[in-house]
Amino acid sequence: MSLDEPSFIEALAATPLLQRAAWAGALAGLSCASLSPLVVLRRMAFIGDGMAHSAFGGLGLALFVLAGSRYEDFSVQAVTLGFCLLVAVAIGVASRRGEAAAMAEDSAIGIGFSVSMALGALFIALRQRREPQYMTSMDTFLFGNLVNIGTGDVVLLCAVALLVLAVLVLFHKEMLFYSFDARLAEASGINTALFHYLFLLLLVLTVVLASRVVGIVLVSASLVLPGVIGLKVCSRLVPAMVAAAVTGVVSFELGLYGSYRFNVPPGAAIVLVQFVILLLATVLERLRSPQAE
Amino acid sequence: MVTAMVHVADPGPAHAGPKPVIDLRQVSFSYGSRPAVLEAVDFKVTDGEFLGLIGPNGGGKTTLLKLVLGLLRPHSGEVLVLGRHAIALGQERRLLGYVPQDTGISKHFPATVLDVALMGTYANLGLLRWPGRMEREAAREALRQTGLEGLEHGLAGKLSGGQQQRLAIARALVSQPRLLLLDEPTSGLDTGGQSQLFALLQRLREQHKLTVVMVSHDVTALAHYADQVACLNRTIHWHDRSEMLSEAVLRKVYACELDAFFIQHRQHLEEFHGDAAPAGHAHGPHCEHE
Repeated sequence: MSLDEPSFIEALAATPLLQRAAWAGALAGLSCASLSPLVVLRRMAFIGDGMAHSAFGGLGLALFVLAGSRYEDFSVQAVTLGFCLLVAVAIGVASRRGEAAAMAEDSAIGIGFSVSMALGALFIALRQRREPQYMTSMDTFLFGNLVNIGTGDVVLLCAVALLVLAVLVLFHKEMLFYSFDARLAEASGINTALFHYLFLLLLVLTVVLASRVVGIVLVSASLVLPGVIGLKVCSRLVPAMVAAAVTGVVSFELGLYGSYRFNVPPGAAIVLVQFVILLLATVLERLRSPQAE
Repeated sequence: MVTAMVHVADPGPAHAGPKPVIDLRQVSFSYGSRPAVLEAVDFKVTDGEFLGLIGPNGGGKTTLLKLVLGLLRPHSGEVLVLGRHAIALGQERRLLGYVPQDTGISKHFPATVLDVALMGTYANLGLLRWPGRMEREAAREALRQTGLEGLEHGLAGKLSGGQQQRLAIARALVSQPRLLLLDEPTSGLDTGGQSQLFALLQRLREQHKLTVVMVSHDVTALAHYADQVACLNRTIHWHDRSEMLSEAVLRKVYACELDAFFIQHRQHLEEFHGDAAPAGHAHGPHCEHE
């Protein structure tokens, strides 16, 4: 099997399309995975998932409103981003109101997420009725499309990855305190509202741009699995973030290789690679502290 | 619902001494359009004083602490802390140490004991500044004072309940507060842990000249350690040590919860009143019940 490895490298060197896929995958993996320890600690996995699925509503809306548009168009991405930001604000308000909230946070997310999906399906059906010749398969949305990536996508993903890293580096102490105990952080004078919405903004940007490349299924997975892995192998937040980021990039590249080598969908390969790393991390954790439950 | 007239101590010459650290003037508060949680609450806590707050669940104790912390804005009245409106404390907020209810730290939370103590310096450091040697030293000192030295590099979530409470106090102490606000710090601790915590507070209070406000259901311990105890059930009822915690007063404040409460505490109360004879109303506000 290993004899085939150079052929992947050779193909990578020779094919700009594969290079872009490798870059885009690595950057999407880096952004999602860097955020994932905080997503896990803040128990926001469901919010990430909800936003990833809300993107479907935004996408349907964009395809319906923008006549003749395609899934790949940036205008479609822009509308999707706007829609997701609105959903994020609604979820953010619901999840911050605490005791005064009209409904439980997970119910609010569940409603936002399913209504968005329903709207997406409705708009796409309407669009299909209007212009059947333009429609792309919805598999692209669910599992991404590493084949249609342009330089513009790579640049955007790079910008988002840089923004995510910059915020995490500059504000990691506030994020740590906020994740530790939001009420206490607020009582101590930390502007928790600012960091709550900043974090949600990063999540939305990452989810919308990354799901365009790797699909919402993989984005949802990458917002959780690398974080769980990082927190299993490291006992402090910053090392856990680094471990998660490394896991994110490595799993995307390994998955991409697996996809090329065995001719399987990249999304599936990447998630399974992450799951194998999780199993290894669990074994490592057990070996280090055998008495742990 | 208890309805009691509240009278504030006459701010005559006897009380003109130390400036109040907390000064609540006719404060009312309710969440949204729900019935008032606090109604015309009016009291002062002077420098170095230890105030115990008791009262039934839902009586407004935690809300009162949040008002003092400036996390909530009163619907009417004024909440003055260190001479300023609590809501606009700004930098002065670091002088308030807060130990919240239920500090249960998740077992695998990725922070060491020292990391958690250092959180006490974050607000003071502000954005884009990180703890340096000075902050680490302050955190280590707070851990020493709370008996947690040697545990700095262990995971905070692995500490016992009592140790986690002491860590919460250490974190609150790091910013060198003048006022320590504790919300039921002894809930979830066994009797030994509770008395250790009170002894620790007593020592810290003397060392740091702290003003302490503690919400607690541990009436017996408050009777021993607090200078004054106020019962809060929408309105506030005052008792200084001399007349503290008579059955009638507690029955009035705790209303229907009292029977179970008394079975548990009657004996302790009798013991306490046995060795602390009433000495009249030496100071402090009093209340009249309808």
